Amino acid sequence: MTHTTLALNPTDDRHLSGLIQRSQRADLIFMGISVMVLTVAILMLLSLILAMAVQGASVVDGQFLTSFPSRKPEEAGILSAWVGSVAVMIVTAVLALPLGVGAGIYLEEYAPQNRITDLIEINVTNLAGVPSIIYGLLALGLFLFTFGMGQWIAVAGLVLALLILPVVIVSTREALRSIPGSVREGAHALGADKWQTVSLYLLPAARPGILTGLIVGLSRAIGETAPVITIGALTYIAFLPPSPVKTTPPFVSFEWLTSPFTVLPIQMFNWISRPQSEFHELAAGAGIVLLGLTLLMNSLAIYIRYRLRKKPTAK
Amino acid sequence: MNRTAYTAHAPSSGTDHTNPATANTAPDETPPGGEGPTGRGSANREHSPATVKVDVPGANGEDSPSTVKVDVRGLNFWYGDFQALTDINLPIYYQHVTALIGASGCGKSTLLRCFNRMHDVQGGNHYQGAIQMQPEDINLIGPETDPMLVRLKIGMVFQQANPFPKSIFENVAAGLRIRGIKDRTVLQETVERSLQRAALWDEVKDRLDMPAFELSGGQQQRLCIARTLAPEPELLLLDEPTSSLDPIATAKIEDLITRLGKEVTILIVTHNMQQAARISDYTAFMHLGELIEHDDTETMFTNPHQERTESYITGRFG
Repeated sequence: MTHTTLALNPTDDRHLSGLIQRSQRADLIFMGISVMVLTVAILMLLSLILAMAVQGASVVDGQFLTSFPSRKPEEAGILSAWVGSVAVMIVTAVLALPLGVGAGIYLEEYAPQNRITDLIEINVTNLAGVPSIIYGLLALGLFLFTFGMGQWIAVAGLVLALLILPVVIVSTREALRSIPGSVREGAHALGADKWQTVSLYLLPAARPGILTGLIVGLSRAIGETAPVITIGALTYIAFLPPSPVKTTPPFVSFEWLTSPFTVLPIQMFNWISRPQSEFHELAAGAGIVLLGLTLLMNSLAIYIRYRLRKKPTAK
Repeated sequence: MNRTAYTAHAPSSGTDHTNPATANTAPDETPPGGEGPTGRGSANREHSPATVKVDVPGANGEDSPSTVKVDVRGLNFWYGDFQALTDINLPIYYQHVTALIGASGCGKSTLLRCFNRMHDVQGGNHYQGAIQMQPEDINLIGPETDPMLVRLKIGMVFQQANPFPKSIFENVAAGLRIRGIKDRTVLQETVERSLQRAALWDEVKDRLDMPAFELSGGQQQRLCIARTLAPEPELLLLDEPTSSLDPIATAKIEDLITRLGKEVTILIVTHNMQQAARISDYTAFMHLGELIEHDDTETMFTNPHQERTESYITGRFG
């Protein structure tokens, strides 16, 4: 056997080790670039958080969390803002989850493969890129002017739910798509109809992915200012929404849904726009709390996902 | 071609559906009427596959060893415009194991999936002909037959074990849950019985609440068999159930199939000829979408009538 090209000669070890060296060098260079990019990104994020923490850490205490906003910076707090944020997030989650998961299931499992479905799919993806102020304008025109709703917690929840719907839909679809086709086949072969397949086998398996999508969406929604301002959330609220729990029957009340409110980002915006530096410190303090809330939601998601993965038998 | 022989006919003769002339002159033509399939079936329950093999060569057809459970007649199948199966005629015998062999792409899995209408999941596929199942006498591929009904009657085990992301118990109970059975006692009894039939009970009885994914590959496949057995299917389809398993796990599944073949009607696709020879009572050889020959397994492997069968079995192609 005669080989004309040296490169193909398997006995030429020197050539082979050269090849290995070259690919190792390429590996090293690529790794170096990756580490550099990552370092820059992390450093920027860290410096932002640190700057905020240094500025605002001194104001975050029990009094800050349990006081209403005030003209006197030393008495001001974020009680109405964080309660408002939490209440709006609850409404958002309750609305976005069933709507988003339902739409995701339909598009992934039921929708026929045709042009209308394609159109819907493209638009859902595009919706994720629509500026949030547009959602605010939609809410203003539709919910407030057309339906005559007010500047309520429910309306804020509704508009933020619409805002994060694409995220929930896309993550639901991705979670469903990542389930091997063999599971669907197995269910069909056992005689399951489509809904049985989805509800008994696909949704439980997709739960971690859907949850991640929801939390990512909520983390975005909790920081949104523009749509909430557009619908006319107030910047100065010195009261809490009515309690959802009553001492008299029927013990639950949904009055809080129609209560005026403010949220953390609006409170921050309000303080930032004042000239006194004490208010800037308060804004930074509110930022820390907002960041803390986001972190809390994410850790909750990670915890739930971990639990679900560890015990997929949950019925 | 003998379309009336629902009662019985000896597999060594009269079953050469590729040659209708032979079939028509075969001595074992059973006249219509007379014994129904059910009566025959119970009478034949005592026949072990071994007895069948001993009986068949000498028999002239009078001593019919088997009842036809499912009869494939003139089946054509198209994936869109591509004809994947051409004029398939094949009887599946009650409480026996029938193996489908042939090279990759010969259409054996396609044929298997016709039985439980798995091709209906994608649009654009269509069937022609009939797959008639007794005793209901329904045409499994008839447009009037609901594919869901077919799948409720026929069980299938796939090439790759595909347990659901649930506990072992819930996997076996899946078929019952789909059928709306909620009674805890019934579920528990059926799960235990099915796991025992699938020879898995002793290995998992203490950990029924564990996720099915924590079982080994061979155990997962036996779990899938248990899951399929739980709703008592009339016909069990096995699509290369051992092709992704190691030899020890394969041997366990083969034992299981041999045992189950005495109480369940089984149709198995295998690319492993030795496996077909070991576990089946009847073998059908397919090539390029056509059924070349089918007969009892012993005849197929010792004295095939068709040259192509012989070439394949002796390893000259495929």
